[in-house]
Amino acid sequence: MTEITRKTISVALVAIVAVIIFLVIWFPMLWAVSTSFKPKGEVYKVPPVWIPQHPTLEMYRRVWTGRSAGGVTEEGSPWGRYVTNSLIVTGTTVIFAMILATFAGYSLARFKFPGRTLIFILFIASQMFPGPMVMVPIYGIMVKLGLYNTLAGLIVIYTASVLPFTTLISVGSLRNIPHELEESAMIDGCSRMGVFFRIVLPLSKVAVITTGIFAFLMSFGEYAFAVVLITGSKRFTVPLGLARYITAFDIYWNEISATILTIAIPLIFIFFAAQKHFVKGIIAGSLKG
Amino acid sequence: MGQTKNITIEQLGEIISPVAKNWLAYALILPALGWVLLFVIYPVFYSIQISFYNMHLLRPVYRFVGLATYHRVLSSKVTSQVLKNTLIWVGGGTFATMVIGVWMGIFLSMNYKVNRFLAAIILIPWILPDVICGGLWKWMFHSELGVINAVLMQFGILKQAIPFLGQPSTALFICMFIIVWRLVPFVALITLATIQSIPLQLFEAAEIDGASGWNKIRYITLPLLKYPITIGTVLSLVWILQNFTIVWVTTKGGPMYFSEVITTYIYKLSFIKYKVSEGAVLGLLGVGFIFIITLIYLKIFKKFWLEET
Repeated sequence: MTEITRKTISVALVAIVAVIIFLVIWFPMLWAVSTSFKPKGEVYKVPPVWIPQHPTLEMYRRVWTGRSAGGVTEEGSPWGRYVTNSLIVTGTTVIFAMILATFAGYSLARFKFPGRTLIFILFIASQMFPGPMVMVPIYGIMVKLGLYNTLAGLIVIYTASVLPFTTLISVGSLRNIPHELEESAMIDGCSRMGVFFRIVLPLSKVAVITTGIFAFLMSFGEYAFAVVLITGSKRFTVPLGLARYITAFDIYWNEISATILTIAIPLIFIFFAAQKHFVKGIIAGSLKG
Repeated sequence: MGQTKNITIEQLGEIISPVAKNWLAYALILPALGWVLLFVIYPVFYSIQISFYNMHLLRPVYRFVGLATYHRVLSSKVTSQVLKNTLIWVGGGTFATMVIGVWMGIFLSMNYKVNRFLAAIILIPWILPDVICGGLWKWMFHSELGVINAVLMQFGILKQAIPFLGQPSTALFICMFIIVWRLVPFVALITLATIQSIPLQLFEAAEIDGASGWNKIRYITLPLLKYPITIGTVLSLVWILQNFTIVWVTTKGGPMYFSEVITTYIYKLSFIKYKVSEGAVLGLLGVGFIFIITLIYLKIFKKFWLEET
């Protein structure tokens, strides 16, 4: 009897804790979902309206047709442009990161060359940089290079930001490819470079994809460098557009919620689709370096 | 002079051959290395250069002023307030992240079905952009319109709405809460991954010896968690220290300077007041902190990375 009550109590406790964890983590998103379907009258009620009584898609329509308060209206929705800019920046960064990190990762994982230790230390240390601490010199460098207020400037700095971590991720996973495969290919007369392209690359698909997802998530949401390097909404990325919306139009929260969700939901889908590799990748990348 | 230059062909070969033999290794690492050197390492040195001048974005002429800018920045009252805030923000944030994160990781490692579901969905705050995290919570903590005030008032806990983000005593702590919310899932997940890699026999043996649930955690799990705890602490320290967006989106450092942290103040100094040299000085101070953390990190993890191959 006591055994059974104890068990019931512990199961109940676990359930309660699990519900609390779930709510704390997901409440902001769920609340945004609810708000995004509310007409203006229901948004600011006390006590709060949990489920919209007169749900409407009006907010989504406004955001994406440019009739919202935040999207200055004349030439339609600015969000299409922000998203396009973000996709150009993020897409290019992802491609650069995947190629360069895989190359560098293979070099560090398989070769023992003079300078390797130093380069390794440099990459491990560079994980901590760059960030807002160096926004002044980065601004200066971009002005000098003529990359200030260009999407190319963002691509350059985002690639630099993601390279150290993505390289370490790929070192971690390239190490797991058995040596013997490469060795036997070389005995069969394949050159070192041939081995890399014909044997290693096809086997490291997962590592390359992990690297890409990481680069995507990290550069898609980046704000600090973007706000320093981009002026003028023509080249705004999504975080810049969102931040302006959030700070300047603090009252239109049903519209802001609709915007946030339209951006966040694709991200969440990408994350769930790739979660298995992604989580393994960050654990490998961080626990092992 | 002549003696050192008289290198025979063989000696030359010895110097070149390790480089030549490894040409592919160098060719593969070079692009990434160059990129990192130019845009990660060089900016730090460029910062040092800027910090010795009195550069101002609206003044084309500037001159070398030695340590004057350092003196001005480091002796200012605002800077000491900012550094105090930064210490609370980074120290408090890391401590809370680690305690809650490790606890959550241990909780998730318990063998209940619901935990597998939770483990799959808790990383959401970590993958959402900072702007979205800051924005969502900013609105929930809103003084008149926010749901948190509304609920507290509905249940009679509060008579009057609290301007969480507008009053000096709470603004910084709300920012801290948001970043903890964002980082906890990451720490929980690396903790969980480590626990799951502990051989079950250890627990079984302990059970046979009559160890209680708490004792199993205390004597088996926690010692093995040294690794994720160290890495989580180091990464949280750096991530929070380097975070600009959450504070910027939720409070802009206000009211006054009550939630101003080093990153937001660098931005204000450099790009709102245009005093880029002062911004560079403060940035270097931040770089110094990160450098110390990085040295500790390297000391712990160098062995691991370099010895495995």
